[in-house]
Amino acid sequence: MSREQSSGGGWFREADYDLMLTELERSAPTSLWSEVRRRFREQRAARWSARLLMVLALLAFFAPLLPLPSPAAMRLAGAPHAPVAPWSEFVNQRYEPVYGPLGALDRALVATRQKLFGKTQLGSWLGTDTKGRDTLARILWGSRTSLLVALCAALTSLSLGVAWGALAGLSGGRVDNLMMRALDVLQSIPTIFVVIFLLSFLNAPSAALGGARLLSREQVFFLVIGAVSWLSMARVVRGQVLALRSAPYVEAARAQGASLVWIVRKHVWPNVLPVVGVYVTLTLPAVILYEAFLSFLGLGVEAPNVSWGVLAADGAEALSPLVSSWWLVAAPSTALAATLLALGLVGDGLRDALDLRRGER
Amino acid sequence: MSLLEVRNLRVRFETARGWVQAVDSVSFDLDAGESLALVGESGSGKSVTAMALVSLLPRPPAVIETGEARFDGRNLLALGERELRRVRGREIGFVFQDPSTSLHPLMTLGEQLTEALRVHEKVSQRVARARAIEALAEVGIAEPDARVDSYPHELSGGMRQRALIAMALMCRPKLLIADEPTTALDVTVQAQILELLRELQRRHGLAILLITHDLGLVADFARRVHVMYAGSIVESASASELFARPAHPYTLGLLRSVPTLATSLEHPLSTIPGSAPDPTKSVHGCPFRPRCGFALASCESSRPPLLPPLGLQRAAALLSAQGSRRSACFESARVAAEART
Amino acid sequence: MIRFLVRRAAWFAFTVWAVITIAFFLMRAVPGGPFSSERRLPPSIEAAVEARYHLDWPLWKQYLQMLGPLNLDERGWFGDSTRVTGGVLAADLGPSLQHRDVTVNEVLAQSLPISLALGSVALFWALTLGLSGGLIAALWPGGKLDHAARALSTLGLALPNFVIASLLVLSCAIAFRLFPVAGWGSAAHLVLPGFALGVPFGAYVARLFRAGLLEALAHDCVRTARAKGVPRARIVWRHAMPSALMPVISFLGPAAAGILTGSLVIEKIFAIPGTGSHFVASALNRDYALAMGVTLVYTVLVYGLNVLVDVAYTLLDPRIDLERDA
Repeated sequence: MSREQSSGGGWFREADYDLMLTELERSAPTSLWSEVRRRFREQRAARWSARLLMVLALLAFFAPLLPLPSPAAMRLAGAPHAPVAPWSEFVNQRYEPVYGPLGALDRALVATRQKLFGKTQLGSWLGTDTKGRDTLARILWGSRTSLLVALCAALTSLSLGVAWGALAGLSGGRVDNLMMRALDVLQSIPTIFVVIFLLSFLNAPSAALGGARLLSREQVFFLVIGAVSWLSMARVVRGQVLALRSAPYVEAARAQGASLVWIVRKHVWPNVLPVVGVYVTLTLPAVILYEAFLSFLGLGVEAPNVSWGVLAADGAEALSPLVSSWWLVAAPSTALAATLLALGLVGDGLRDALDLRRGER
Repeated sequence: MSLLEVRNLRVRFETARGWVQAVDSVSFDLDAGESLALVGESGSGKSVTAMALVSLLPRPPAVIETGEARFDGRNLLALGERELRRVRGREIGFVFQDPSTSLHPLMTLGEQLTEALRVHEKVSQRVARARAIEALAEVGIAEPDARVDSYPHELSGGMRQRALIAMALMCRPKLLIADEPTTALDVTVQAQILELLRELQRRHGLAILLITHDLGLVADFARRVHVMYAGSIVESASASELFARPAHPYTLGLLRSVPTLATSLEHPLSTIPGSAPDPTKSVHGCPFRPRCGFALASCESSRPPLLPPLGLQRAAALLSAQGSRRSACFESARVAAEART
Repeated sequence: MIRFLVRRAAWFAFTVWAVITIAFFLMRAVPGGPFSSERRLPPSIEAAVEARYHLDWPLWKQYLQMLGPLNLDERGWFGDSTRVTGGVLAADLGPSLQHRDVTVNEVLAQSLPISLALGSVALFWALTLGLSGGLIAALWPGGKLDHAARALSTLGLALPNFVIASLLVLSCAIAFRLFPVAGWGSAAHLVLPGFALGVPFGAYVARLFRAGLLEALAHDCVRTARAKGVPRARIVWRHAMPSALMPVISFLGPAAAGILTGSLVIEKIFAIPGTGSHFVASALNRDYALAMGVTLVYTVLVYGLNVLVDVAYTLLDPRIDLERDA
């Protein structure tokens, strides 16, 4: 045995040690996020979807500035007008400024547009609806509602959802139990019905308040969308935090005397972040769909405002065997489907990049 | 003639990081009723060898490059899927490592046991069930007629492994391939399972190919042992010879890392330094060289062939009646000599 | 099992109670009444109408009456001679406020079978499309069919049901005239709406089933089955399928809820006289009784289906012990 000990020392060569070190350096990732970015870029569909969404967001934001017909301007004679190809009528001079109530920023944008383009507006490339309003303009103005709703839901689920989940997960015990039971009750109530109640009842002008409303319809709408969008986020964050709290390396850190702040900053937060990111990408299409759904039922935004759901509903209403105004269905449907598809693909790509996909679920 | 003759089997895996030579020119024989052990650490290619014989490897990524596996006169590697299916389960039984995942969680033991029978033989449900109960009794499961309707999660680990063995033997195969059959079990249960295998072998004249990383199991189970390292057989010998005079440095290292009664603080267990080579890199010379205390200059350039140990050739010639003893090492004589001291 | 069912029933009762209570107070808390939107009635007639529907009672009385059945008169709780029957507990939801001379029970009895038929057809489409798509994709992973199935399922998930419905109406019914586009009466009327309602869920089922099958086929026990010489068809059918169906089954609960929700829209597009159409209308018209009835029906349906799914799950997976896990 003693002989073997000495020869054992001889077995282990310095060169092996060096080899091991270089091996380690080679395999260590330069940084988690750069790796994630690289893997995300490798996916063509996700990359192009992200670009499409960016273009869409820009178009939505600058819609008032674009030389579009105004979304509420009607041209009743002969409506609905079929689409006019860009090469037969690129622009015309029929612009009339008809807008609903606008915010300060939008007013400024519209004023700039009028200075820049005057009476010039694009032709009705996508046709007009039954009241002669331009479909393209309405789709772009409608996209603002959809994206605003998505933004609102993302913010609620990021603030309220993450805070609720993190608090429950970190405090654990009875507090956690109580907070989760509250979520259970909120989730076991069929939210869609509560939402419809809220919207239909809160929206109606009340005689008691002399025809005035408690809140404007849009305000109620955004409140409601926000209220239902944070529940799953809270659940997911709480689960992740709870799992991390008992993870061996976190316990090791605690055993070494790390403070709670340190553990949250160094271990919990970086590991929760990817999950939160992925969950936001799942929330966004769901909420856009939700908005379209409610608007479709006539519970969403009100004229003169538009949203994709309103447009799709108008299109479906205009369908009849006699007049086939297919563009009224096809245009908003395509816009909605393309956006949802792009969001879905970005979400999938992000999940793949973060390697969070376990059996697709 | 041997029951199973494997010649020059080469298997490779095609992975994203390049291809891996998992099994490299493996040859061995197994007689009817004999037991043979393939020993090696994880990744040495022993399980891949066994699974390649009956094409259980997922293809892709696995590719069987060359080789022959004559079983009862047929080359298994040349058979089509249909013919292979008639061999699997009927002539060759398989027992896998982890009984908790190898049994289907949503099917009763009875259904899983009778499945092979009903696939290979035309028997009625009733006969099949009776035979399943009989098989469970044979592997020592108490109350077999009740257990036959149990689900796997209702059994202990040892019981599950017994059930798996019963399942593999339902059609009375000539060969049982046992891939790490005791690794997932407690030590006491390990001994029981081995004893069971030995008894079944005696009773049915079964040939057993035992695949394990545990030299301790091999000692009193298999007559002949093949030691695998990095996809090749580096030493083959009868069990007694292997323990008495290991001729390959890797075997010597393995033997010294088995704890014995002499292991103590003063005489601690030795380990083999380093780790198994990166399989995606092609190796020149002996794959064990970086970890070998006996390496020569020639080990760097060429891979020693599996031959009777140099210097022990005379002894080997004397013992040839017991079967050839071979080692893939230039220094095998010195290793064997050192092992004796 | 019994204990599990009892627990679920208790939780069920609690949820239903919570939902109707919230719905009740929400309805009464917001301004406006069922008759305020109509042409102004003379005060005496309005009072008479309100008395008929007990709208003149204090809120707590109305609430108790809605819960019912309390034979309030005999106990003398109200100190007056009101004789009240009905209520949720008696499964009598009272007269509708909007549809004169019709009870809520009658409205539901007439519309619910239509909605249930629509939902069943949708579920049928979802399962047929989803299971066959997932199976085809999983049998040849990475192949052309797999790619096609996955692309279709991504598309199906992205398209809202009303978009699918509109496109269907546009192409199928108007251009090809295969199925009736709107209305109710024959089984053919259900084909298109059911399809539009079921497709998004079918897309999700396909994803779940494909992933489940691939996971199951890679499992150790499938290797055991192959080592026994079991043919591939039987391995897929008997070994992989049951495990792969588990996630699909647990998705059926949420899917049923989603299909009910979606039916609100689909019934509108296809002009189907189902329960969904009453939902929005009753809420907008302040038809307290009908709104309560529809809410109640949907809550019970969704919750009941969820319990059913849980039970089915345990029957299929012997490892789950409801008594312990409940």
